[in-house]
Amino acid sequence: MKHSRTIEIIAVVVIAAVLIGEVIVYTSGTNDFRVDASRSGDDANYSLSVRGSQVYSVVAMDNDGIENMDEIYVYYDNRYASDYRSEGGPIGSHPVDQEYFIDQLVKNLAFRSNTPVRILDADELRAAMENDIASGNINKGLVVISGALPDTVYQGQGPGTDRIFDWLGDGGRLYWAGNVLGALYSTQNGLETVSPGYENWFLGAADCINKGDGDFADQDVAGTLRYDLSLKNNRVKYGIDASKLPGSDNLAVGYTDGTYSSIVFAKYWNGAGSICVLSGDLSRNLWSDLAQILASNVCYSTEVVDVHSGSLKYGKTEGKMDLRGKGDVSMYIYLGGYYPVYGKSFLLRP
Amino acid sequence: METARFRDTYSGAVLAVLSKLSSIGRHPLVVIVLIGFIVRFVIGIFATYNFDIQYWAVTIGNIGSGNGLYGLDGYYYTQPWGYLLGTISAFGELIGVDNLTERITEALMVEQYTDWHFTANLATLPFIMLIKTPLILCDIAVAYVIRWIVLNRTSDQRKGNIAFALWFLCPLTIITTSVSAMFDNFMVLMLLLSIVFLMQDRCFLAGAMFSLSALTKFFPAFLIFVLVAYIFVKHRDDGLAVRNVVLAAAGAAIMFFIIMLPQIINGEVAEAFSFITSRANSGMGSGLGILERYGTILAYVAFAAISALLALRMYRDREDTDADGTLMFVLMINVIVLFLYPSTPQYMLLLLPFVIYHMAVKDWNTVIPGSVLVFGSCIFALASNFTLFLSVAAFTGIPSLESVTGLVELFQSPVFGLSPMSWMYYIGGIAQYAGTLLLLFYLYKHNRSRFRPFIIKGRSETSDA
Repeated sequence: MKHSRTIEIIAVVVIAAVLIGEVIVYTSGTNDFRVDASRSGDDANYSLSVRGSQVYSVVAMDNDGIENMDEIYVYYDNRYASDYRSEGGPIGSHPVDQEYFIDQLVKNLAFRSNTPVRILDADELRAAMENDIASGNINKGLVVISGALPDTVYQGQGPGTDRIFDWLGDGGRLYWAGNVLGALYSTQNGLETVSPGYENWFLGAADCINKGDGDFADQDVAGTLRYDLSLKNNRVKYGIDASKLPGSDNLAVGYTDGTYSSIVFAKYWNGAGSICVLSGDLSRNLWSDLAQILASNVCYSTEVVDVHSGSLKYGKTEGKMDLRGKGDVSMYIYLGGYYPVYGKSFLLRP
Repeated sequence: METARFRDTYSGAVLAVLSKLSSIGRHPLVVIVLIGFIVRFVIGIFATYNFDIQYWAVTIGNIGSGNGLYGLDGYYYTQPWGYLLGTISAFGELIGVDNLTERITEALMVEQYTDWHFTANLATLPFIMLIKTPLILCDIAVAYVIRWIVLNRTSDQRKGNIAFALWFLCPLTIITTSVSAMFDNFMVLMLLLSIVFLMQDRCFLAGAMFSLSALTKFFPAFLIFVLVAYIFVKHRDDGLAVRNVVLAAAGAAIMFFIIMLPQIINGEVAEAFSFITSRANSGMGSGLGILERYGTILAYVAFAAISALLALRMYRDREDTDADGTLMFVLMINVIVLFLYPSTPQYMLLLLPFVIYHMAVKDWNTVIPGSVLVFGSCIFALASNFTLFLSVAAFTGIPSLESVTGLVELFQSPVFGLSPMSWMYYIGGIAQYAGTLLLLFYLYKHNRSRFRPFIIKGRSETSDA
């Protein structure tokens, strides 16, 4: 059979496209990006530089004096029972179990956040809480996706007895997803159901959690944060009806079905801490949103001061925001839009 | 004088170029290529199946964040397409394609139909065309290689051009590329190149391309038995069979190693093969649920056994003097056997080149079952109906997003117990399967002599019916 130059060229082009791609895939990374921010009097100055083309967002938030977290705990203990459900995924995808969710969350935080992350088992969690309470200054977040807190910090007894409430009262920030908040606690022998009243213990209001089957939200919560932070999860199962929460120290973001919201932040009613409930079964959108929320330091008192967004192609851009009259401002800069490739948070003090 | 000579030379060159262009313009392939391109680009802009393409965006994001193909969730195939996405994304960055998808609140209603893979993560139009353009170019490369094989076999330009047109204007190839944005045509291209190199006795290259093809999507792996048998048949008398098999194996092994190297280093080999292992657990996505879940592993074993049997029979048929023709025929039968287990429509692209070759070179009778198969596959592939217009509606307003979501809703309302979408899905699936069976029947009916070696041991005839 005769040879053909064109056939050879096609083969070379195909092989070259694959192998060049292989090199690109394994040499790309966050070294391609630089972001920085600082404050000078009433002005915030930021700069971004990228190799390649990326969309970017610069979100400046007034958190009303709430400090950025200085550590994030993630609870995981396979000796303890858990109770969560997972959304399915495409064929070939890994099931979204607790281990995989945490693995992906930690990896997502690694390039979006500069806050250290520590995975704690039930005993380590109690020890960490004891330590935090003793130090009196808690700027820590705790992520729980197991569907039930371990009995080392919560036994369904309520404030004054369970350690979790002391920790929340002293400023701890709980990020909850995967089940009804507080309805269960776990032991090494299984799950225990908690008597009604747990909603009041955690949220200071009765019957504010979605315990029904309604799970689908198709509207944006009022405000721009859903879009500003490129949030994706539109499930509301286990979600909070923010209108039932006491006081005004709460914030709903994301999507809503008209009653429940996909993400609700609430100040802990009996102290300095806060609770954030992310709705729905464990899913890919959920870990993406959780990573974005943790990385951005958004909280119940967040007010968006200003947002700059745009496209950047092989170059650098700088910008300025007016922070006149503002105290500490948290600025979150991220690249990549709905599929972030890099992010960094800054606390800009006057 | 000098000026006049220059003018004459210049005008002569221009005339030569114009004459060449004119002759190219008169070439029948020009019309086919133009029609194929225009149809693909127009459909490509207006209709997109967003579920898969959103994962190409996720993968590009993951690559950008420094997590390779498998560090972060989102890429569920073996490597070659992921690497091609790396190249595509680099080109996209060069030309400024930066916003890949948007989550459109007004389109969220489609996600309530959880039985289907609908999403409100809508690919932007520049991103859509960034992905689809290389797929379209791949389509033309496949068409060229098919034409070349037919021409090489028949020396008949007309037959070659018909083969080219049958691929490039085939509705299924257009839909797979321009609507589904799936990369199965790259698998086909790599396999065809492997076959060409094998026919040319360039076995190292053949092995390398085969490895690339089987890593792109798994199905070509089952064809290895027949391809090896071909080498033994072709070199039965010259003693080069073992040498050529070793060369092919070396090519395949080296390419495999190069492709797998990052995953070997990162300890992600298991993740790279989740595409295959998950199908062993959950089936091939044809919607037959429990039946396919428990049948897939058995089917894999059966595929391998039947493929090996076909290869053995091919090798034992010592009276066959047409190794190349037999190879194309047996590969076609082998692929049909693979698809006796129900598959999603884009996989059918693997079968098309062999059917087209058979039509162009041998026998037009297969045009009827081939058309049934393509018709069924297209209906199957288009079952996502109006969701295909979400991107163009969201980003251009033509048609309005509201009208598109209204039609999506209408298409989910039951008619005779099933939604129109379900009707399309099942009718398309059944027609695709019927086409596959019909094709096998037609091939048997009109090529009994070719089937005989595979039925009666050691007996064959040299002429086809």
